[in-house]
Amino acid sequence: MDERILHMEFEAHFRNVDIARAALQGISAECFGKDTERAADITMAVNEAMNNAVEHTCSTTVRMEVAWNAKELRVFVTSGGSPFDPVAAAARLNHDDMLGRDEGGYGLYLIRELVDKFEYEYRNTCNIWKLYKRTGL
Amino acid sequence: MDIKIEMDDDVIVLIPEGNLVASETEDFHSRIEKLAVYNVRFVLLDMGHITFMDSSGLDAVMIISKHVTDGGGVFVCAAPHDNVLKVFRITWADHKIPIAATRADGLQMIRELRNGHV
Repeated sequence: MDERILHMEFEAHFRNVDIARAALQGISAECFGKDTERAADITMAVNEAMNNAVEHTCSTTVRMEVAWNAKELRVFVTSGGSPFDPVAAAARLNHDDMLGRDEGGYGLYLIRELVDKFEYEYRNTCNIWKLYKRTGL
Repeated sequence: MDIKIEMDDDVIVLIPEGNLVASETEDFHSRIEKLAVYNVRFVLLDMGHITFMDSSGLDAVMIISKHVTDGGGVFVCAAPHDNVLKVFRITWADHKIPIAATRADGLQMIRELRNGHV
């Protein structure tokens, strides 16, 4: 399977996150076939990354870049704003943090638990969240 | 988001339908907040028609749960799909909110839990 790519750039609005998520659900279904749980995992994780971009970065647009092949599905979510390293922040969370909170802060923990690899880069005043899920299991 | 509201004895049953996600939580909150007027003590959230829930949706559920339980009431979630249940489990929210497999189980759970509250 050759690598295929989809790019979407949208106004930072939660309604647009719904549309981007729907597109990713279609790609995930193609990548993971009957393994609907892994397909749902990456969809949920990317959804959380996009929500964060809309809610916290003050960026006017969000970009979702999806690439998939026989080995992996990777999704980069890019938005403007000040640097924020979600990988370091997620690494500091543990189950006591989760048990102790009434609301808020679940998104990063979900991403950390649902993807196979989670990376971050700050480039050209943009935060880039990189999420990976293996497809060839 | 459509939310059906039913009564089962003195338990109010909320039945939202669709995706419980960031774009829907404001509407969800405003609909639920109106219920506070009626001093609801026993609430069952029937999640059988929720097809997708993200962390914003989970926040919304946690807020309702806190509101109800802080007032001395009982709050139970019921019938979540596997993907929704997974969100509760990963975030350990299932240790803070009782979750029943079915609506009937949820109503029974409320009956049992309320004995400790009334």
